[in-house]
Amino acid sequence: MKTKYIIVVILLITLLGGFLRFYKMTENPPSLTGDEISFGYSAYSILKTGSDEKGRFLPLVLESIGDYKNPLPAYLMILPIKLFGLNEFSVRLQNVLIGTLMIPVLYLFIKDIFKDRRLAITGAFLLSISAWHIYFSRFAYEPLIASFFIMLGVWCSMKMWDGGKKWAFLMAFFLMLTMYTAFAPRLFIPLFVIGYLLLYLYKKGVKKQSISMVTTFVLSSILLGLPLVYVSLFAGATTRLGMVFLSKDIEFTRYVIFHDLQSFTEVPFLILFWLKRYLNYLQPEFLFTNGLNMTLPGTFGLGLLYVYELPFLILGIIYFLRTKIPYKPIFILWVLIGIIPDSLTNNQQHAGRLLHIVPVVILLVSFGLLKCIDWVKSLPKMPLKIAVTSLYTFFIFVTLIQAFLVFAVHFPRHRGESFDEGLKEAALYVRDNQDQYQEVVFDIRRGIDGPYLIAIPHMYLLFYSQYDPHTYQVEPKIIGSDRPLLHFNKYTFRNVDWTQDRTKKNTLFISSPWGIPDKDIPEGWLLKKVYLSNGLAAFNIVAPKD
Amino acid sequence: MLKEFWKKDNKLLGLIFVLKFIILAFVIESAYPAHVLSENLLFSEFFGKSMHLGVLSYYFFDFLNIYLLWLISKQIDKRYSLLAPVIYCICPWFSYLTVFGSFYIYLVSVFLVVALGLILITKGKIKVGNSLFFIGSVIAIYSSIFSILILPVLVFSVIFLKKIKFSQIKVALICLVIAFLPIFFLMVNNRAGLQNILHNEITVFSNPGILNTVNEFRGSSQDNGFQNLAKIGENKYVYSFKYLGIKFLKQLTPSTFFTSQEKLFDYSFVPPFYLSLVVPFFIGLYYLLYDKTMLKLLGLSFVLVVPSWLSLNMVSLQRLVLFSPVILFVICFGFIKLWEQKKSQKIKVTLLVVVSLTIFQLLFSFYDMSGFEFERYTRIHHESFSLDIE
Repeated sequence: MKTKYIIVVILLITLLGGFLRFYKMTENPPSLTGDEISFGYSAYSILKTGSDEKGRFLPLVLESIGDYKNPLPAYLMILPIKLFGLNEFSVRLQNVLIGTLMIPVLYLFIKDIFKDRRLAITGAFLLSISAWHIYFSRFAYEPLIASFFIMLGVWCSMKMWDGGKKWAFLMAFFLMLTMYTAFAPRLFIPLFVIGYLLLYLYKKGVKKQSISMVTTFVLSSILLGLPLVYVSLFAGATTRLGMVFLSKDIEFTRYVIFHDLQSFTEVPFLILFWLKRYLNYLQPEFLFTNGLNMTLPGTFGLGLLYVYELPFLILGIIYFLRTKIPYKPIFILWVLIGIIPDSLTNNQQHAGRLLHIVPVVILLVSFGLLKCIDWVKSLPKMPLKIAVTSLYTFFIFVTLIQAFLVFAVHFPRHRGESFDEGLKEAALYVRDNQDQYQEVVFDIRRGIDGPYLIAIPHMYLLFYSQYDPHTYQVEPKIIGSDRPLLHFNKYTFRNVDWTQDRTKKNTLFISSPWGIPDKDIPEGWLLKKVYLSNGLAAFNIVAPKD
Repeated sequence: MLKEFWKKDNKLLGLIFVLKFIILAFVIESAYPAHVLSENLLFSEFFGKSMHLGVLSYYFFDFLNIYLLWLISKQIDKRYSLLAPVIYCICPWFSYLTVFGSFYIYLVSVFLVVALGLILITKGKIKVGNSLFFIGSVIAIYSSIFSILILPVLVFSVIFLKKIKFSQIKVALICLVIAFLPIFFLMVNNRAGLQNILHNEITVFSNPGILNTVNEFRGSSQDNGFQNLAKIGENKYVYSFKYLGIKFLKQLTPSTFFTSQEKLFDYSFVPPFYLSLVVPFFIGLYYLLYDKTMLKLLGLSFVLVVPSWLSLNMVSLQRLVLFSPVILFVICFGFIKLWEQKKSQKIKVTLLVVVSLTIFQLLFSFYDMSGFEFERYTRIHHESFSLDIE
């Protein structure tokens, strides 16, 4: 195929991928998550004042409620916020752009490594329509950005041995950049790099040139990683590790050892439990039906791959194992180590924290797809070829329809609450009507059936009212020590106790329907009901009257 | 064949029996009285005999399985004939099923007899092979409805793969057809009985979840104006196909066999096979990729997961034990491949690590069983646990 045609094809594939990522990106996912809001307002605050909302000048770690966040996503948001203002579009733009950009970059990566344009085009196309990649490209999710840098870093690592020191530096640059972007790479990168270098030196032997490359890489990494060491040791960024480590897993503490990990003799239980988690990534439900968690558990949502990709994946793995492929051990290492960070956390498997292995998975599926196409071509009779192709195309068509319906219909209905749906509407109501009240009280607990979610409504209020960051940084705040409480200006964020709070006049209350039950709201007090996409009520906005 | 039992390496087999006896005793001790399954109590009540009489028969079949695996292994490769029995002996899956009195331990014995018969035929021992094949098949057909599906597939596949000529098995097949006639007429004449059996055994469609999902999803899609797309993409056929496909894959997932992902008797943390054995398993699988016939045989053996596939739960470890000999032989194949390359330092270390970890896990599972397993049982079944056995 001529180069200009290939450019057109790649452009079309990228446009398709871009469309699938851009289209209605501000409405689906249905609401900005707490993380997106935090990143957005931090970026806004840095843009306006040079400091985050806590007043830290150009922070290397962003302190959130009981959590710490990586700084790079917020810094990347600054430019879109400057250009388009503080809104959903600006917050999500970086992910959508990087998600789209990954398509042609993956093409170039595969083409460069395998010298096979057909494989590269297939890979780019599969990535462009991958539900896994589309989903995480449509909202501000930092592991997606990290996965882009990881791909670039690994690519540079493959070029490094023949290409010179600039590749060693670039490898260090991209890989270290990922560690400022998301938490999973902080474990993945060191393990991968150590494994990679040992593997290479073991295979090729220790030579003068390789020593020089490794030295350049290590020195660059140390230089670029120094701030990270500081942040990890002194700025509380290790808090998250303690919060999410596997030993705190509910299943482990409740059903395996019946208490928190206490003695050395219980460590083998933890190791076995971890290995179980690790192997669970091969579970078919996770891979093909509900790995993306876009619908409720037990229903048919979307997995990391479409069901029709199953035979391609199996064939691809077989082909990969049986054929001589450049950098085969590196790809194996990439996947095997890539699973480790997520497997060590105390949640169920999370497709988002596996995004850095997307290129390898797509590569395997591409191998399988091309093998299948070759097989169909080799069939002896044309009617047979047509029959097989038509049947499978129909299967693909049905699967894609289902995927579309999951994205367009079921995901907002099933997961609206997880995306903190309703808080925007409530925050906007407060912004527009606050002048009529002396105090605004926002319940921090939420959940349709009960108080099982803790939200950060103050961040939504700051975000949607575009609250002046400087004012927020310097104004006095009351923060509860023994119970959840935050008060600034006229806003109070705490648990609402309606039996007592109902007597407070000139106050606007926002709480879930179980916090302020409908039956306990006298006529005329209910100002607005905020609903989720599934039609269930998320909030009652109430003002007590005389 | 019985004479062979007492020959040279049979002392080692005797040791394996002793080890199995110790492991069984340990499992009984740790699980008591959780292992008293309600259905065994029911049978005991029904027949008016001691429950232990029935349970003892499972011990017999468990030991018989070891012996049959040894005989089969001998036919495949004499040098490694003790490998499969050792792995069978130490792995908790079989011990648990035996102690809990699972019917499928008995069915494993029957299928192993059938397999031994077929292997003997391929080795030219036509008479003994045919006899064992016939006896095993008849018992299987009269024991489980699934055998009526599994056996023909197995037989036709070995003929199709040219492992056995039709002429070699002709007599046994004719006898089998004749032996099948009574149950066939019984099924034809007693439709209600057959339906009852099918209803009890094939419970995969008893799950109302699929239909509920279809209804809920279609309703939502229609509300959003996508009724035509919903008709194509969200109907019960598409979802059932998807569900069955995923459920089938689930039967073959490594974590099902090597971790406690699917809990034995819904509570245990002990895996069916020790996790360290996943290494020889993958190595065995890798080498199988290069042998087209073996790969085809492996593919055809998937028919053994059908009983578990058609159960209500995503995976039924009781039913899936029918497939366990296949996993066992893949592990053995991996071990043999490793052993054949033992001159390499890397392989030596791998072998050593795998064996050490397996021994460690065996010992650790003793610790786990004695200290934690019963507590897990009571935690998970605390509401239904009301047995009071003196």
